[in-house]
Amino acid sequence: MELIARLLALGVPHPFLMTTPGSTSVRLAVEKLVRERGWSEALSPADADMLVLCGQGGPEFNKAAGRVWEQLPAPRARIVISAAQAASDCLDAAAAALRDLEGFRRLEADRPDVAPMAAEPMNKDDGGGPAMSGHADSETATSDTGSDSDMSGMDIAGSESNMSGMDMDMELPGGRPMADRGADRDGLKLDQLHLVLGPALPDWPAGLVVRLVLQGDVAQCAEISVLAGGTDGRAISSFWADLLGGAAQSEQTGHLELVSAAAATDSLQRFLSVAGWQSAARTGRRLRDGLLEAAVTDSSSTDTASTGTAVTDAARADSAARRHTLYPQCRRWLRTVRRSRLLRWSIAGLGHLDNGVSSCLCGDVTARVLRWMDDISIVLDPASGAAGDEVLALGRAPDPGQSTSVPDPGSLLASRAATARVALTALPQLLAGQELAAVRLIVASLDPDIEALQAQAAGLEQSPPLSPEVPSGQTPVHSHGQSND
Amino acid sequence: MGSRMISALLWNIILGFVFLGVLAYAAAAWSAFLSARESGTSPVAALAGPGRETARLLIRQRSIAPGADALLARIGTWLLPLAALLAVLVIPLGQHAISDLSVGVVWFNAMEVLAWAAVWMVGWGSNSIWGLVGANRFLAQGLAYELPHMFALITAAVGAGSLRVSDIAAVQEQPGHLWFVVYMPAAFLVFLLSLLGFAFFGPFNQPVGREIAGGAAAGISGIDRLLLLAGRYLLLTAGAAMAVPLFLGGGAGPLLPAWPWVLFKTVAVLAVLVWIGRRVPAVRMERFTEISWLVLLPLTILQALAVSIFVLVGWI
Amino acid sequence: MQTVIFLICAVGAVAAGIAVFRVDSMARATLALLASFVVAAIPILLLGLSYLGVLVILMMVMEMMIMAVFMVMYMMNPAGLMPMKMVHNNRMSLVIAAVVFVLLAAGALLTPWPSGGRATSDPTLALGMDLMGPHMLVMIVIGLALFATMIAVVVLSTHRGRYDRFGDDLRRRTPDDPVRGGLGK
Repeated sequence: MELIARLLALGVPHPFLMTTPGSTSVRLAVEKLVRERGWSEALSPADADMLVLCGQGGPEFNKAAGRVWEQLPAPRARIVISAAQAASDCLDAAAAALRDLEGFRRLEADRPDVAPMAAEPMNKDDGGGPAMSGHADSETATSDTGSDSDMSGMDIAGSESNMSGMDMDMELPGGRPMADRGADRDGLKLDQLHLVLGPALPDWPAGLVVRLVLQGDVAQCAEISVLAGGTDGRAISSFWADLLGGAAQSEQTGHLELVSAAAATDSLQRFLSVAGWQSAARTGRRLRDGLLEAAVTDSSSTDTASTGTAVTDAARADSAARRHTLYPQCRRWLRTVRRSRLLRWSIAGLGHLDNGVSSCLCGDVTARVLRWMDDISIVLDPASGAAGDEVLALGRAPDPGQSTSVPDPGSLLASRAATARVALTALPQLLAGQELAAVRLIVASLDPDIEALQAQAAGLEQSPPLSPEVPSGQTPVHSHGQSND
Repeated sequence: MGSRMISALLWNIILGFVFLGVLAYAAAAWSAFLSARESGTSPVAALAGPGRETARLLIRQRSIAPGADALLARIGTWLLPLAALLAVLVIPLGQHAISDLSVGVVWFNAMEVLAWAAVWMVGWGSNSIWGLVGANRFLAQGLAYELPHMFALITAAVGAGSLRVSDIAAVQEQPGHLWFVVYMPAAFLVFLLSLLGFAFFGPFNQPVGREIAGGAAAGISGIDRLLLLAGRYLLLTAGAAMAVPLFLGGGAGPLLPAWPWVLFKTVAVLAVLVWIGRRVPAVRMERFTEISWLVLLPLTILQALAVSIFVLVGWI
Repeated sequence: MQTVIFLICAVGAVAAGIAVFRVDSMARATLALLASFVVAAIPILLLGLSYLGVLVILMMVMEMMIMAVFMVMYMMNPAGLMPMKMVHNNRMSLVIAAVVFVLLAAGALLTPWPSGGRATSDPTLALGMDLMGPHMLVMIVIGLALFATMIAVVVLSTHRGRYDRFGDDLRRRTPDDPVRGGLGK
C-alpha cells in the first residue's frame, strides 16, 4: 500500500481535454498550465487519468464527455473549468484528487462494479446503469456536471450505427454495429466503418463534428455538423474575434497584428501537431502563449494609458523586454517550419479550394499554412511589413469597405464567421475520397472558428441592425467578386 | 562444464538485457529532455520522465473496451519487447554475441518482423477504430520499408561473405579495412530509415500517430501500454546496436577494448536517431511507399551490386 | 533434449492448427495458423538447417500479417468477436484432410531414408543439392517464370493501367491518381 501511494505520487497527470465552443480562453489557459507543469496531454481516454472539460457544454457535448469518462481507467478525475482564471486551482485540485489513495479506496468499496470498462450488456437505450460508475468517481473531482452517459460507442469518438434494420440486429458484443459493405473507389466491395471525428479528439476545432464513412482508412463521404455551444442561454463569445476587436479599437500600432499572429500561431501549432511534427508543435504552443501574453499586456497597458499612471511605462518596458527574447525564438521556429521540405512534400496538393471561394482559404493546405506564417512574420519583422502588407493585399484582399479603414469589432467577427462558414460548406467535398490522415490535415488547415460562427449567429438574433455589416463577398455562395489571382 | 557454460550464458543474457534496457531508457530520457526544452520546462527534471511514466502505468487499471480481444492485445504487447530482446541475442558486444548464430542477420530480420504481428494484434485487439487504423498503417509501413531494409542487410552480409553478425564485424575490425559505411553508404542510410520504421519512431510514428488519437496504442492503458512503449524503445535500441556491427566497424576503435566502443557507437547512433527523428514531421505511407519502392529499392539493389563487384575485385 | 523440444513443437503445432478451426474470430484463426507455422519451423532449426528455419519464421510472419490485412479489408469490425464459424463444407474437408494426411504420412514412412547420415559443414547447401541436384538451373528458371507470372497477373488484373494514369498518349507528366504519391510534382 505504501508502495502504491509512492508510485501514485510519482506519476505525472495526463489530462484529456475537451473544449466546448465558446471556451477557447479556458482551453488556452489549460494548455498553458499543462505545458508549464510538464504534464503531457493524453491522446485517448485510455491514456488519460484526468478528464478536463473546458466550458459547460450542451447535452450533445455532455453525452460525448460521458462516453469518454466511461473509458478512463482508474485512478481518474473529472473537472469542468468554466473560467480561465479558475483553471490553475481546478487542475491543482484534480491532481491532488488523483493522488488521494484513501479516497480511491473508499470509492472502490462503494462501487458495485470494479472495472468501469468491464463488458456490460450493451443496450443503447439503457443510460441508467453504466452511468453509476461515472458518478461514483466524480466525487474525487472538484466540480462535476453529473452528465448522463451512454455506452453506445466505446472508441474515442463514438461509433454511429447506420440505421438499416438488419444491421441493428447484427450488433457485436462491443456495441459496434456490423459494418456493411459498399463499393470503394478501386472497384472492390469493402466493409464500411462509421467514424465520428470530434468533439473528443486532440487538436480538433472545438464544436466541429465530422461523421465519416470509412473504407480502410479512406473516407468515402463526410457529413459536417456543429455542436451547440453554451448552455444556460449564455451568449457565446468568440475569443479571437473579441481580442482582435479590442486590438482594433486600441490606438497602439501593431496591436491588431500581434493578436492575429497569436491566433495564427495557435492554428499553426495545431496543424503541426496533426502533421506529426510534435517538436515544432510544442515550440509553437510555447510561443503562442508568449505572443498571447504580449497581446494581453498590450491591451491592458493601453487601457490604463488613458489614466496616465506610471505603471504603464513599467509594463511597457517589461513587455518590450519580453518581446526582445520572444521574437527571435519565433523567428527561428518559423524559419524551421517554413524551410522544412519534408513538411511541404508531405502536405503538397491536399485539400485544394478554388480561388473564388474565400480569400483566406483559397489554395491548398500548404497555401493556407503559409498564410498563417505570413501573419506571424508581419509582427516579427516590421521591416518586412511593407512586403507583408503586399502579401496581405494580394493573398486575402479583404472586402473593399474593410481594407481601407480600421476594421471595427463587428466586421472582424463577421469575417471570421464567414470564413468558418465557407470552410464548413467546403469540407464535405474536400474530405470525400481522402485518407484519414489527409482528412485531419485538411480540417486542421481550415481550422474553422465555430465560436465566431455561433457568436455571430447569436449577435444577429439579438440585434438585427448588425446584419448589414456582414461582408457580402464572404458568403458560402461561390463568389466571383474576388480580385485576387 | 555444462553448468559453467549455462551460468556463463545466463550472465551474458542478463548483462545484454541490462545494457539494452539502460540504453532504451536513455533514449526515452533523451527524447523527454528534448521535449521539455521545446515546451520551455526544466529539461533536467524531464530526464526522470520515463521513470515516472513507468510508475504511473504500473498502477493504472488495464482498460478493456467491451468487445475487445484482450487475449490478442495482451499477447501483442508482450511480443513487442520480446521481439527486441530476441533480436539483440545475435548482436556482438565486443567479440561475442550472446548467441552467435550462423544466420544472425536473418534472425535479426525475423525478430524485427515479429513487431508487425505484435502491433497489429494490439491495434486490432483493442476494439477501437483508431487502433485498427494504426495497426493497418503499421503493416503498410512494413511493406514500404521491408524490401529496401532486407537489401540493406544483405549488402552488409555480402560485403563480409557471411550471415554471422560477428563475422561481419570482424571483417571491418581487420587492420587496413574500412568500415562498411564507407563502402555502402546508401545501405546504411536505408538501414537507419527502416530502423525508424520498424520501431515506429520519429517521422514513422504514424501507426501510433497523434492525429489518430494514439493509433494502435489508443485503447490500451496500464501495464499493456507500458510494455508497448518500452518495446518500442527497446526495438529502436536493438536496431541502433545492430547498425554498429553491420556498418560502423563493430568494436573497432583506438585505445579502448571492443565492448566500450560498441556501446559508445550504439549510444551515438541512438542519440542521433532520436534527435533527427524529432526534427522532421511525420511521413505518411501513402506518399513514402512510392519513394520506397521506386527510389530506395532500386538504390539498394544497385548498392548490393556495387558491393558484390567490390568483393569480386577484392576491394573489400 | 532434442526429442523433448521436438515433441513440444509437434504438439504445439497440432494444437495451434486445431485452434484455427475452433476459435470464432478471423484474427485469432489467422494468428493461430501463424503460431502453428512458427512452431513447425523450430524442428527445422533442430535439423541444423538454421537458415531455412529462420527464413520460415520470417516469411510466415510477413505472409500471415498481409493475409490478416486482406481478411480485415473485407471484414472490418475491429476485434470482430462476432462469433463466426471457421469451418465450411465439413464433410468434404474432412475427406480431403484425411487423404492428404495419409499420403504425407505414407511418404514419410515409406521413403528409404539414408541411414547414418553424412556430416556436412553446410546442411542448407547439402539439402539443396539433394533436393535439386543437377536440376538447379531448371528450378531457378522456373522460379523466375513463376515470379514473372505473378507480376503479369497483377498487371493484367489491375483496375487502372498506365493509360488511365498518364492519359491516352502517355503525355501527362503527373499521374492522375485518386491519392497522390510521394513522387508527384
